[in-house]
Amino acid sequence: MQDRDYLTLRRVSFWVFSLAFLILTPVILFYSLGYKFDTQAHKLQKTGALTIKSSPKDVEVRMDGVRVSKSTPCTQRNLLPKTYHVVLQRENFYSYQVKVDVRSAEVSEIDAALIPYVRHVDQLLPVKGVFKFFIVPQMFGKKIYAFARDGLYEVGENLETPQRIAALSLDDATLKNLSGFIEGNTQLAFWDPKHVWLVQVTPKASPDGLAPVSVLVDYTAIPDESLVGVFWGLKEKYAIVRSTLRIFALDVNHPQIKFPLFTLQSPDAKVIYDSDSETLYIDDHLPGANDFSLFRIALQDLINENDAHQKNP
Amino acid sequence: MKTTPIKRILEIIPGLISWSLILGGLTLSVLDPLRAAIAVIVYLLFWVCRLFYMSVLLVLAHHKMLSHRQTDWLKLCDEINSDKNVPDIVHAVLYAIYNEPPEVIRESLRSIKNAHYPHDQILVTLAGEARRAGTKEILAEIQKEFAPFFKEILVTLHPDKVSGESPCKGANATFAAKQIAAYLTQQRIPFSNVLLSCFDADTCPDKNYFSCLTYHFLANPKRHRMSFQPLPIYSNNIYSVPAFARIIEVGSTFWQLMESMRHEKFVTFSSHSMSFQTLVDVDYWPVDMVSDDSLIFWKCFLKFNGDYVTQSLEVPVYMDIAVGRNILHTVAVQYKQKRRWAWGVETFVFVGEPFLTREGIPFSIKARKLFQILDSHINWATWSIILSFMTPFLLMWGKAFEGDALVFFNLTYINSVIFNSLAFILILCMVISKEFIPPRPPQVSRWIYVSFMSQWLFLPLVSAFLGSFPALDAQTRLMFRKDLPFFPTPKQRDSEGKLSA
Repeated sequence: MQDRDYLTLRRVSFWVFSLAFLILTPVILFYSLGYKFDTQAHKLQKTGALTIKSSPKDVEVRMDGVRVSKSTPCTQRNLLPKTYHVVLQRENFYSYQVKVDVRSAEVSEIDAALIPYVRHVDQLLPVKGVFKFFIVPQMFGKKIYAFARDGLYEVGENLETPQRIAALSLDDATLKNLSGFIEGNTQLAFWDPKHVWLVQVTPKASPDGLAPVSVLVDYTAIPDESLVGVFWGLKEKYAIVRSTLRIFALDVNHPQIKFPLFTLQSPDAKVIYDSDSETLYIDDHLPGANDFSLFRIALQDLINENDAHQKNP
Repeated sequence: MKTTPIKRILEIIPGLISWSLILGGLTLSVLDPLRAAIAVIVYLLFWVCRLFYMSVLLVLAHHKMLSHRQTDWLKLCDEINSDKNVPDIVHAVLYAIYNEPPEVIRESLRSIKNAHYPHDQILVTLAGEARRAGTKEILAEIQKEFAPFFKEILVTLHPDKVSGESPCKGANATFAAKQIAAYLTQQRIPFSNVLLSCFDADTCPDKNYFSCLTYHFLANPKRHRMSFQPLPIYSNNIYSVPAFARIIEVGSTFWQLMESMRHEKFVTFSSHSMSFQTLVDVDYWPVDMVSDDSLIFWKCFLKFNGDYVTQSLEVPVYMDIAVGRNILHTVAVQYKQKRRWAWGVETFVFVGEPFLTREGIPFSIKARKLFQILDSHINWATWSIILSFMTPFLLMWGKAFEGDALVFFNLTYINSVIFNSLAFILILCMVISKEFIPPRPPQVSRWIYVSFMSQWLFLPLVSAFLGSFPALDAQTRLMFRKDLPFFPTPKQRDSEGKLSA
């Protein structure tokens, strides 16, 4: 090639790229600002965009019946502003359908979680006759307590390695009616509307290694009262028991030792006992009022107050 | 030297424009992200088109260089119809030396010794600085060693603290050139038959350099109205320097390749050659300015009222990549070297003042030249800062405060499309850069080729820190009249004459 050939090629390239710049710039600017020629309305329309994310990914996306993407996440640009019917589909998942408004010069978003079909059970607990179970969060993971005909079982959250921890001499109806369960450091408690049972997990007294079960509260003789909830109190020395209209503290080691704490105004009152601060939170009618109010009884503060008063009368 | 108002304004303009672009862009990004996004899109598109155009120039220049690789230049010299012949021409090779190790100089002289050109027509001058202790003895030893191979080896010692001079290469070279003039006069060699090649101490010309240079000198009737610029290839120590240093210097080579295709913009850079007669006519190099290599071109341009060009040579010269004692020192060395190169912005002042005050050159040419100088220096100082930092900042800011705005959403997309398209240019650079890699020494592992390919991934970061920042630094110093500290680029060899890492 001669020098003039190089010069010609250079000049041609210069004009080609200059023209490319002059043509591309307005086109890309219009595109960036969201303009698109609407062939139906025969005018420039400012479009919007839609981002679609899903869990799980790789979900097929259809907009107004037309498949627009085989997988997610995806982005649809140059959308004329209107309401779109979006369907996300994937095998073995329920189809997810939603209407989304796409606005001019804005980016709309769909972030969908698809629900899978349940076609088979994952795992079976190899214990028959389970009537009730309770899930208790642990520091790492969860523990499940299952009440079966032949006893109380402690199971991991994967339903593996069930361990029978106590024998229960309860009939099926009682097991079905169990309404609550709490786990303590060394003991467990569970109840139905008429009884509270205590399971001393440690130390294990019986030779078969099972924890002894005792009845803490028996309300079978009190027809008007039902047991609603149980909490651990005062470092698990007491069970704070709430029945229909009463709250009382029960020494777990000597159940005959019982102290009344509070009488509720309404059977619909809500009670929570915070074991960390030894405080009762009660949502109840105040005497003479129709509205529910939230108030607290701080047992530890009362103990400390009385203790201080005794030292300095 | 007393400065005039025009000169002061010209000193301020480049830095002012560069800083305005950067700070203005940042301010606009914060205050009106939408408009800033539009400006960035236009800027990105401009650079994409410009980079593709420059890659075409790179391919053309590379093709031209390859197609002349087997050219027998001496044969061409004999064949052309010229008023002069090869035996008439004397090559005066001037090496400006400061503190380079003797082995660097020896290697350069060995490369001339290997040139395919009659050695008795090559006059070598070793121009040392008297202020460096031991220079005289070292140069005398080298002179004695290589004298039998050339017409003559002159040794000059540029005296220290000459009034009106700054410590710069131009002052040394001018002093040496005057000694050469005296020698030529004594030998009754007409200046018009002498080609002067002004080289850095580490410059090793290709074996066909002098024959190619002679050919162009003989072939062109306007031989005294042109400088001759070879392609600088920084490969002497390419196997022993960090990747980021390699990539910057390869970029410099590419830049020279591209510029060589733009004859109207092409000026001399680093090692170059010219007619000795012309050099004398323009009173040699500037003795008080750093950028002597480009300023000599402009001196000639002004002297001859615009009737002066630079002719690109199809053969390269091989030079060292600037390297320090360790990685950090190499970064510092590279930064200072690039800042010194970027100090070429002083040509805007050097050229601008006479352009504005003197007649003789058509206004359109003056305007075009000034614009070209300003454009290249401002782009040098700003483009990678805007692309590497400002665009991501704008994207983050815009998304944070104008989250729903479609333009930012699309700008991210356009940005990614553009950077993916530039991957083509990156691949092109990788392919072409293979041409400039010399054979691997046996002690260097083959794994170095992985480094040669992967080094291009550092390009965005290296372009900013060792490209734009030094240029911005130089322009800012010029704005505030802070002189550039004297910095001779370190060259290294070990005691066995091998290149040291």
